[in-house]
Amino acid sequence: MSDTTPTKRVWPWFVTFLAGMVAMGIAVDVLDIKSKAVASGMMMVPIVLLFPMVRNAMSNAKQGGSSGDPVRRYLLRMIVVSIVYLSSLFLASQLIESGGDITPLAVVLALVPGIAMSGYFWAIGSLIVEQKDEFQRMLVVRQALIATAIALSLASTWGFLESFELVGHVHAYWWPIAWFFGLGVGAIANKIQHGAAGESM
Amino acid sequence: MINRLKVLRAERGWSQQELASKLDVSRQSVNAIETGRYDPSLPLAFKIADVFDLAIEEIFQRDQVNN
Repeated sequence: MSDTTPTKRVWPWFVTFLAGMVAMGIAVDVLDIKSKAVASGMMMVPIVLLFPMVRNAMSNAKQGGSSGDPVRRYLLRMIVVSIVYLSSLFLASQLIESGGDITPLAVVLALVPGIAMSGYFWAIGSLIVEQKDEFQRMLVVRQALIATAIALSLASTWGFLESFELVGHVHAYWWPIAWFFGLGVGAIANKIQHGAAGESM
Repeated sequence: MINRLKVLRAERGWSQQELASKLDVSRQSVNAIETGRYDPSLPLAFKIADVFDLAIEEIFQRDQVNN
């Protein structure tokens, strides 16, 4: 009678992915890479770390039986959204000239990554709606609430500091990234309080 | 709220995964309920009672401290 069905680790891959992205960002800066294509290519390299992460998450979701079905759909949506987001970001960075004319194509190219980013929130919202396992659903809701509190607190604090010219400007697309960081904090809080992280971490 | 889930499950020789399958929830859910980290909703409590063929109050009791 075994109570401990082995679960495959997901979060170490995600942390390694984030570390890889930061490392590549530093490398691009330190090596003074001028070519947008080379810099974008370097930033894409850590994405390979997401493949084992998704594979393990899928495996864990499969073990969860019917309660794992919404998680599998969620992961598939995240993969599709990620492909659209990364490829549109790559295209926009390649095709939009800094300081160039504002053309309809430039507007569309600049809009798509942001719209794709909203796909992540749709995927998480769909997971909350579709998850019939009430404990798992509560974990994701807690994660989202903690993430929202962290991201909005950071955005409002930074916004006031910036308006009084005490700190530099931060592009608004960093706040959703802060929200995803908050999801990680929420997963840790869940693990401590409820013994499970949530969102297949 | 305290519960006798772990004892009842052990009496029947079920693993957490087996009980989770009967309840159509994840193993983590069963573990969280057993360890008192999560109190199930009334519909899930009824489902648990049905699986063990017992009344809800035979499985779940009020916490003495909060009584």
